[in-house]
Amino acid sequence: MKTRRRLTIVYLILALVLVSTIGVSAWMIYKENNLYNINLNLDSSNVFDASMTATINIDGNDILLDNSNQDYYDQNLYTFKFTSNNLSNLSTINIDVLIEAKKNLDVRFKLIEMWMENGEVVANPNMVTWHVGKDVHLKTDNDTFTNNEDDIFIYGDESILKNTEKSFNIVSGANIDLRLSNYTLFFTIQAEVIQADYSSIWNLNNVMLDENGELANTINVTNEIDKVEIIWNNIGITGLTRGIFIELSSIDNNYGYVYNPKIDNKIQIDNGE
Amino acid sequence: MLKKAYLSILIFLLAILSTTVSVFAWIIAESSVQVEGEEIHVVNDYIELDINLDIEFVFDYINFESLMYVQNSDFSIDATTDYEGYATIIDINLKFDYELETDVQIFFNSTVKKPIADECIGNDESFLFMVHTTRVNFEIDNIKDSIDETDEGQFHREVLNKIRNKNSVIIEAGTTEQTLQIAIWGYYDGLTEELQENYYSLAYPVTFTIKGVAINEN
Repeated sequence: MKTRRRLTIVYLILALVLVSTIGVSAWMIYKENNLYNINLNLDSSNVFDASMTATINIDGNDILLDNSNQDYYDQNLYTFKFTSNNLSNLSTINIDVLIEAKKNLDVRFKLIEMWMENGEVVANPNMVTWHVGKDVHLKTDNDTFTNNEDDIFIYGDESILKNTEKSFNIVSGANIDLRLSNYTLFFTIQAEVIQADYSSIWNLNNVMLDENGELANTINVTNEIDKVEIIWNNIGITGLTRGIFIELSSIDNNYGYVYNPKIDNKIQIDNGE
Repeated sequence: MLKKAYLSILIFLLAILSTTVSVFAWIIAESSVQVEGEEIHVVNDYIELDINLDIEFVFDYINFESLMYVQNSDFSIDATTDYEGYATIIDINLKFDYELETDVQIFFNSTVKKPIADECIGNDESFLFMVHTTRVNFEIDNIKDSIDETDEGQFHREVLNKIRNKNSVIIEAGTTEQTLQIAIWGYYDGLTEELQENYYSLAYPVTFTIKGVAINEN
């Protein structure tokens, strides 16, 4: 009898445990499934796509400048390259950029130049005067420009609507001054977009100047300085460290420098600037 | 003695059964809708919904990479912002096994994942969305038209409130299939000062919780 009573108590306990387990799990399962979830990840990393078509014309033939054309393209810096031997061919340059907008956007472009002499980055010698293309304008409305000034931007004439694409003719020729030899020009186009109703801030902004209209982040170059460190914060996307353009400016000179983690280029800045 | 043992086992089994049934019954009575996997069951009215995202590949987190921001000036009295032009729009298709017997209100609630350590992640306050059954461009304008235009600050706060409350749609009885759209914007003024400095590089891992409630006919 005692054994059976004990057995009954064990049954009771087992049953209670079972009942609670089933009850609680049923409750949990229904609680979990009671709502439907969708997980999304949103960011602003790809509000537009851009592609560039650049050609030069030699003896009546159009030559496409792309990353497979090793005569005119530097595969480490991701820029076009013209040495003093073929710089004269740049006079027929034509550059179109196609922008595919994911949202309503305004666009502006910067023609980035880096000049090298004997393996060192040097100040822009102003040997190239670019002709402004037909779908863009400068702030000054001039037809040509050199990159010897700060903040030369080329502005798209029209906004691009969401989910449409538009081609901009940015550069249509150049005047070349071949007074210096041994110089190599590296150049590319940087496209920058802003949502269409905010582009008026581009009229105010000069990235080189501070709020008082003076050069920001100035440094006096002396013999003691042989290294300047530039630290970027909050760059979470590795691809952004590819082809970073640094512009250094003094009263007389303008230095363009394309940073690439694979190449350790030196920049030659004269004492006193 | 053996009889008693059988009896006790029978009683215990009955107890298990009755408790389970009562728990289930309680849950069914509590909530008007349950969702299992990709189906919504509107239990009160015995209706099932299939939710299908109108996207070819569905991963754990579905990526949308062209989030754009609006700010208080976009909700001012004179603003002419093209809200749809900056919206990220996501289509969601609801399918019903047979005609809805009653109107159903579908609610969306968003939760932005909290950042771990130095993750560049936005906050709930800067995440704006509206749910629609039709195109969205005129909806904010409609909202603006319905608000008193005397105080600029009050005006944009009311617009924002109304947008935040536009988180549900009503699907009419008799419907068998319905496409919904969620329009999403970042809201710059909802960011903390620190996040505003890096707004262009913020990510929003968001969980939308969808819940349907049957609206009983009068």
